[in-house]
Amino acid sequence: MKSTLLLAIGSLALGAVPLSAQYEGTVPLVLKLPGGARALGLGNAFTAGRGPEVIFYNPAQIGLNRGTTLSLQRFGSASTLGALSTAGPFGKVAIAAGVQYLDYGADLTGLTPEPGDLTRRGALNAASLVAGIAVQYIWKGVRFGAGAKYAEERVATGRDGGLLFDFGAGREFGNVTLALAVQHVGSDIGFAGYQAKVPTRVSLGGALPRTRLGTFFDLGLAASVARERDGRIVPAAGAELVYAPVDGWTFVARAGVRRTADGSSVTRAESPVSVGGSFGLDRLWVDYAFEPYKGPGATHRIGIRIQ
Amino acid sequence: MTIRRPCLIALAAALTGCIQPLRLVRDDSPTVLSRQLIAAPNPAGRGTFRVRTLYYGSGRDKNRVEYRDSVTLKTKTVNGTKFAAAPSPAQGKIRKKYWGFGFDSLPVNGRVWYPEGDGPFPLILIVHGNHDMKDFSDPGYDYLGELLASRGFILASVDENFLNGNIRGENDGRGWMLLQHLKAWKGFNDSTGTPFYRKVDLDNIALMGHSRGGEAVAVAAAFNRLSHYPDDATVAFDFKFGIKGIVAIAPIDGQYEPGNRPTPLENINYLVIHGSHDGDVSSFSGLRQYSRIRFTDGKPWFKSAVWMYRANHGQWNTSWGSGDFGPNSPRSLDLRGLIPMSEQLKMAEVYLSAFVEATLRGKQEYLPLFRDHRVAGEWLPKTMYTTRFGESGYRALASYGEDVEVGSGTAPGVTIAAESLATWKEGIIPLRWQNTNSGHFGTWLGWNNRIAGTDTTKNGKPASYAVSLTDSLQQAWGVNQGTAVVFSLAPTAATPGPRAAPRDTTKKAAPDTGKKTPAPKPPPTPKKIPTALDSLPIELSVEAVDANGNTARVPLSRYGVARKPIEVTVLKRKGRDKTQFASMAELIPQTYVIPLADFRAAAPAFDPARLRTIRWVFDGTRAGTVVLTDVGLSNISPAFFESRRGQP
Repeated sequence: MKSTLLLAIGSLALGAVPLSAQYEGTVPLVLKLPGGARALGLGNAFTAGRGPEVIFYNPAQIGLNRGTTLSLQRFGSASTLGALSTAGPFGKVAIAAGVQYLDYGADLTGLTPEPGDLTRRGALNAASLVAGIAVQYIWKGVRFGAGAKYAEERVATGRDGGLLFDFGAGREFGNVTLALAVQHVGSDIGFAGYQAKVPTRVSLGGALPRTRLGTFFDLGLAASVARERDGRIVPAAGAELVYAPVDGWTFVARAGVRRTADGSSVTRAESPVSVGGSFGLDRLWVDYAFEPYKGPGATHRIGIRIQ
Repeated sequence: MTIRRPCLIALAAALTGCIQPLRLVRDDSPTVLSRQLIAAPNPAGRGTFRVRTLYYGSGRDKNRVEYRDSVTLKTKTVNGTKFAAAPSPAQGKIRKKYWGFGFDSLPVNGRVWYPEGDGPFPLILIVHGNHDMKDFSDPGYDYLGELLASRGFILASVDENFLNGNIRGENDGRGWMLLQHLKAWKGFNDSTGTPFYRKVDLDNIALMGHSRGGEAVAVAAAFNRLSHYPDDATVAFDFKFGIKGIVAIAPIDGQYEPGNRPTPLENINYLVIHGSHDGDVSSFSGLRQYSRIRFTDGKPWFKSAVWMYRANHGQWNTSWGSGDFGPNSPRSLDLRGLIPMSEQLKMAEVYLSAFVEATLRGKQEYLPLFRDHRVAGEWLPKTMYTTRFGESGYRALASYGEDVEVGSGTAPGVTIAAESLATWKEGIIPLRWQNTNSGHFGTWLGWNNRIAGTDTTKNGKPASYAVSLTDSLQQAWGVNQGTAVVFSLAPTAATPGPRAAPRDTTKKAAPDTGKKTPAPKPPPTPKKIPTALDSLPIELSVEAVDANGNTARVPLSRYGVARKPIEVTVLKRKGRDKTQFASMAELIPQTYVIPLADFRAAAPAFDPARLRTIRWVFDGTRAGTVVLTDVGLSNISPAFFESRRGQP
């Protein structure tokens, strides 16, 4: 009864807004969230990352590691994010596909929250979805990638979406990978009676993939700097320490920092610090990441990867 | 805290459980290597010459000061584009950027250890194999350079680092480069003003190679006698150097095949050594080249293949060390079982020095070492060895590869018979790496002398296997007291079940009365008692029978130990060896050389000159299986037995 009432109020609220009004935020919300447990553990500095989840960051990087990953992220007990992605070479190109789905609660205004608000569930059932494919081709030693995806936001009974595109390039300079990505390019999405911008971002990333540190230890580094649609510059960096005592057994500890945006309230926000870890047994990996939140709740992400 | 602790304990247990426990076989060297039968000085002992060193090369090396600023003798670069290439144009650019030259201008660089004196001194080239091209491999044979130069040999360690890394199919190039070095050495020897003017004995050259270099030396020796490059006859060859011997250290085989055929070699001394714990070249691939060496010119050549327990791939080179998989080897390889590097180097010093002394200087006192490692108990590091041996006097009675008739041998008129064997079949002797062909055929002989039944002490007549030759063959080959029976044999892990009791033919069949007689009650099945794997060596007798039926018998153990297969775990991860390799043990038949004179000593009535049959009688071990190969006779030079003087 209560939920029906809230739904009715929400629908009324959405219906009260003129269609031509411009929404100040960006949607879909899922595009502003990490694409995988490893990426979250590295502070979301994954523009030059590798692995199937890199489809959510840079299509130019999808051909570096063949595999499939499935992950689930909980924001307190309020929201849940699930992701599935796969990547692999097909002849001279690499192809990847990925889907992310966020279940959360929007507040009665019907507007989507910021990622920092996800540990609090609003009254209206909402979901955010992105599903896409990407292709990568190497030309003169440079990896070029392009992706197309459908993204949508659903709040209460309202549902709007659109087609977006990603572009990227990357190459190795010695042991360092440098990569550039332009993500979420597309026209505004009609959403909840608003015209909402998509969260287009340009990011430049670098990564030093596992470099031997000692007999049983490797170190990996990642960094990126992104310009968000609202003009914010978001630097991020992460490091992972790998312990490989015996062939096929791998333990990884990671930590990352990034600039985060406040939530809708000063009492809520994502933490700039995240940590994580992985355990790999041959081709099977379990990944985990944790990010504390300002205010109540925190987020945990766990993933399974076959690589 | 209460949850974390059990988790950590479980994790530690899982981690410990995934690591292979160290498994080493009981070392039998205290008995097998208990005697020193060669009276000559230890070939690993330093000689009397003062050792000098120098470098020769392009003088323009970008990465190594020794080949740029320290070059005493400048050499011209050579165009190797017909023999080796980068795997891709991009890789070619990277390599050229690093090295400063392409495959069209390869430098002829070498570091030399040489004796001070007038000479001429025999020349030895040694070449490394594949490794990280930036981790230079050529300095790693300094121990051999110092030793052999002090003993009066010139040793040059050849730089082929620019062929290392991710190149494939370049072993013809590695071999061809060695011949370019010999050309340079001819120049050094012919030119006044060089330290080697008329000091190099170019008629006595030995080539040594490690890993890919181990195959490259065979390729070089083959190219040395060819008029053209087999894969592109527009390239003419004109080498014809006096290469008398080649040494392959843990070699690969078949990376390059001239004209798509395995590299043939003849009339050259050959030594190949390999370690059981080789983490790179996992099988004794050099046995294939060993099998392809032929002696056809009637000169006294020999070949020997020595397998060393607990030796790895890299410890023959002081720059490579224990990391057969590179710097991350401790993660993949179980290094705990390795013999210390100093011991492995010592083995190389003994064998390689003895080889060049015998091959290039004709010092026959070292020849017995190549027939039987047991003659050098004081010289060799205390571990286990297996030796394959052949020499130019050998003639095959049965090589097992010529046809599919198990009852006939290789030589005309040779017949084969077996009695009471449970297993009798012929086939290829496989290498443990993917069951690849070792180049040898053999016959599998399995027996169990026990008669099936409740009485476990009841044995039948020992099983046997016999090879017989004809009068005419015996006469044509000139078989006499100086002839030796030669064969190679390796026990396998298989044990056949007890043999059926012989049918009692004296019992009369009961008259058919039309009544059914109840079947006799089967005896109770004895309780199975788990027994430990029998690790005792196989014992058997070898019999020689002459035309008059006189039989002489000697125990096999007198001529070498017939060990059960030695299982080896190279990889650190538990269970990985079983999935990685077709077999946990390498099947390497040990060569036994038994002079007919020994049979005569055992039974004076036996006449070696009238030898008819050689018989293996499986009377020492109740049940087992062996692989027998390369059965023949040899009018072997007594020099291979000099060590037996004064011995009982």
